[in-house]
Amino acid sequence: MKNIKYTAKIKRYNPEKKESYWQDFEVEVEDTLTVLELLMYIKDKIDSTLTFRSFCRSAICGSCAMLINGRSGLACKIQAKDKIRNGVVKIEPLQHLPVIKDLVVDIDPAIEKLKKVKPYLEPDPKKVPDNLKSESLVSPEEFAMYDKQTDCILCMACYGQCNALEGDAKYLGPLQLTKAFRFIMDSRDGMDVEERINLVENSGIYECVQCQMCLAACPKDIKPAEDILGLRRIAKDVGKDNSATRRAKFWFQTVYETGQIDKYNLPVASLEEDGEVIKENMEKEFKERGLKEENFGPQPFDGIQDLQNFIKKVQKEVK
Amino acid sequence: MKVDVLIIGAGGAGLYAALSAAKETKGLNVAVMSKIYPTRSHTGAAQGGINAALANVDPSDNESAHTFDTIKGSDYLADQKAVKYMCYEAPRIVREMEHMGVPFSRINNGKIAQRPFGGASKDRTCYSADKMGHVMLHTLYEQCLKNEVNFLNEWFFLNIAHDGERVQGVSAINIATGETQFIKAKSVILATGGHSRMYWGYTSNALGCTGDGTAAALRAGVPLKDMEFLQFHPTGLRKSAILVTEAARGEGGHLKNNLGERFMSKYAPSKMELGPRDLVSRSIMQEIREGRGFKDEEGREFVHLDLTHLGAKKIKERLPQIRELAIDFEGIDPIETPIPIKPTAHYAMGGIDTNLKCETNIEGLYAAGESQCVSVHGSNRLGGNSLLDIVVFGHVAGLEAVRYAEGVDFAKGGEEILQKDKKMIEELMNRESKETLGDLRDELGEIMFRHFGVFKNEKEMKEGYAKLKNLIERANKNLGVEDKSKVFNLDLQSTLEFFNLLELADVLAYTSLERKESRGSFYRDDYETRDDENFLYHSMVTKNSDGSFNYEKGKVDISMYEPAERVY
Repeated sequence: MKNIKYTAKIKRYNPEKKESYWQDFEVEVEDTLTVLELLMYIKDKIDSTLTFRSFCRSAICGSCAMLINGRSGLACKIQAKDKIRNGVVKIEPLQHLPVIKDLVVDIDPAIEKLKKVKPYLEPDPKKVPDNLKSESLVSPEEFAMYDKQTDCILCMACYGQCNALEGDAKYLGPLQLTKAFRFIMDSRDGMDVEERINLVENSGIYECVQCQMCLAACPKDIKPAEDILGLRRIAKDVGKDNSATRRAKFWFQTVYETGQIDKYNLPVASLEEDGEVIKENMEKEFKERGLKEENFGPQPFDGIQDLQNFIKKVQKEVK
Repeated sequence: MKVDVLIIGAGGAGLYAALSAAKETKGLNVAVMSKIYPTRSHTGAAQGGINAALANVDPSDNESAHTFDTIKGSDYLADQKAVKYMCYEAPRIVREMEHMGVPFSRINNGKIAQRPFGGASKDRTCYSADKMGHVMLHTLYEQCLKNEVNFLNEWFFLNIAHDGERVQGVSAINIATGETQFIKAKSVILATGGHSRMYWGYTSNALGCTGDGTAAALRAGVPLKDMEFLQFHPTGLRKSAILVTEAARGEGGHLKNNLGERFMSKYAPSKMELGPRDLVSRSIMQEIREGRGFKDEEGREFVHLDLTHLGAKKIKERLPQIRELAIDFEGIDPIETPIPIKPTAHYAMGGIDTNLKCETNIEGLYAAGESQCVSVHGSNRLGGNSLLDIVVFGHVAGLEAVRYAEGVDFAKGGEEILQKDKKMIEELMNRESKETLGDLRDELGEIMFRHFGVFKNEKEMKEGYAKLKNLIERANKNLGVEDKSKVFNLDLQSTLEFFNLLELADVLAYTSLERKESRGSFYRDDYETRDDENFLYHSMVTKNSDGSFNYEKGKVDISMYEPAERVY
């Protein structure tokens, strides 16, 4: 252990003056401090008005998520010395949520979105006993389907890092969709899967841009982006007919039949009438390039049978 | 503001009380007030599991064995009928939570998995890897959303108003606005958690485990029971004192001294590492005292919790959070390296005196969870019994509070406590700080750990009590709030929490000096044995208006098992 000197550059907000500003704190502290301990040090020794939430200090309560050098994370879990860049550690409140004071944000909007996915078990009477003499039976394999997702501590780190929220404030958010996925995968849940999908279909699962930022942000190594892909798969399986499921079906069908993606016919297959414009533009471009009409879409080739056999084999194994 | 049933605290006890109350009531308004967002509550940090004699793993287990283990673990200070009630309720309530969606780990036949735990004669602890409290807390919160329970999140509870007989309501600060308000209530449940933060730098507890409800109860004239009993968990991380679950030993972890010996063979030859917590903590401290511990550069002394022989697969599957904590907070991977650990102040057995119905001496005022003392843990709690205690008695408190509220109107008055609270806050805000909260808090932790730690004696406790009295005096004179703002003034909140800790430390020190014996978690070098003839009683303390204490001896229910020597 040794002492090191650096600057903690903290974005502050004074709600009484409605004023936001950066403040630099020069510190000389032990090199073993977490970012939370650094903030506590500043509050104890330099400026007791500095405001941030903290509670368990062991990465289980989720109070202290914030932006550290532009990345969301739990202040209690991150070593301050690992984040020093040119002598500075930069600390800001989480993004996409209203700031209340300094590093404290209002998480209620995200909780209101969470409520929309009905984030609770609706017990399936076939699986969950109606008396307290016995428990539901859940095989270790069934349990494994949602075990990881139950690690979520609602810290909002993923929410603060989500690119889809950047463009669309109505988008539900990563943790909300992971929660939806968790209950669909729970063998004890009795709510119709289609009904659960309806709750998320129009406000999230297709808007996710799969940037995977939520994976990096999650202090519990949950993978919301993967759960969102799972939700899309389930939407397709329950027969949801929308641009995304049509796209997925058509994509698979042409790959199976020709070994390639049929980009020419994909817009119409997916977006129906709205896809005609895209198709026309492509036609124009292809013609300008001198492409023959029969080559606009992909053609089957010799040996496609091998690919189809391979796909069938994989499908069988997955089942 | 008016609420029919007001629950203070949103941990396992508070949320279970809210759920039971919401389901039981025919139209009463039920609200939960919490100084933090509900899922931040310290219940979430409980790792190892919850005890219930489901007999899924060991078919020979039953409620009676659970009852006896708990009574023996308590060193015969628990009230035996209360323990019996809790243990017989256990299977029912664990299944109820399972039906609510708690993701328990499973055994191959699909039933809830159970593991061995300290002080238990059978494999009885139901678990979800090593994050039982977390999944329970989140499931209960989900159920509260489902049942549309009202939440007053980020409100800091101050005081209880009563007219000498009945509760009238409470005062609290709305943290978001800084306004101090009176909330009228027909019944109030205190589910505010423990107070181990008085051991500031030497505790596994969250920063907010400051006994706010227990201190308010003391100020309102409710007796506090058995406050001298505060449990040290054997395995806190060396640097941060963060908890390493007993499940680490339940899954086969070994405690080793600097000679590489599994030293528990000397202290608990039959149960070894799975002796009860009080015994294991003392054994570790004894090894360190006799020079067989390790010492790091900073002078911190510790022993090893060795999991390396368990193998990567078992550690990743059963103890994933422990591995994460060791990596994040000690910089070592327990798959390869033993974890440096030392005992850490962990759990308050003592608290607000209630009967089996969670009633206090004030009509309409209830307590549940760690802030409550029924007593089911006596002088030493067994691992896996606290998650059980909070839901069993949270449930009882919720039902009783609704039944009471349904039969009465709001009590008149109570608003006048606001004047006193506002004046007290104003004084703190206007006072110029001559000492800092940070320094005083550290000092409190040092006093408590050095003088009221794992080993105690008359001389050290008296010295400590003098230091504590001096600290209290200085805090009352020298400590003010430097942040003068209204909105989200956590500086003010932390200061008020600190005063709560001081009030409770005073009681703990006082009752510790009165008890001239060793029992469970309470161990004195100068009185090394249990003395049933003179000390088999609950210490009951109320505070007089001049700050002095009334000390009474409460009867212990030993109607089922005659006190016997504890051997493990």
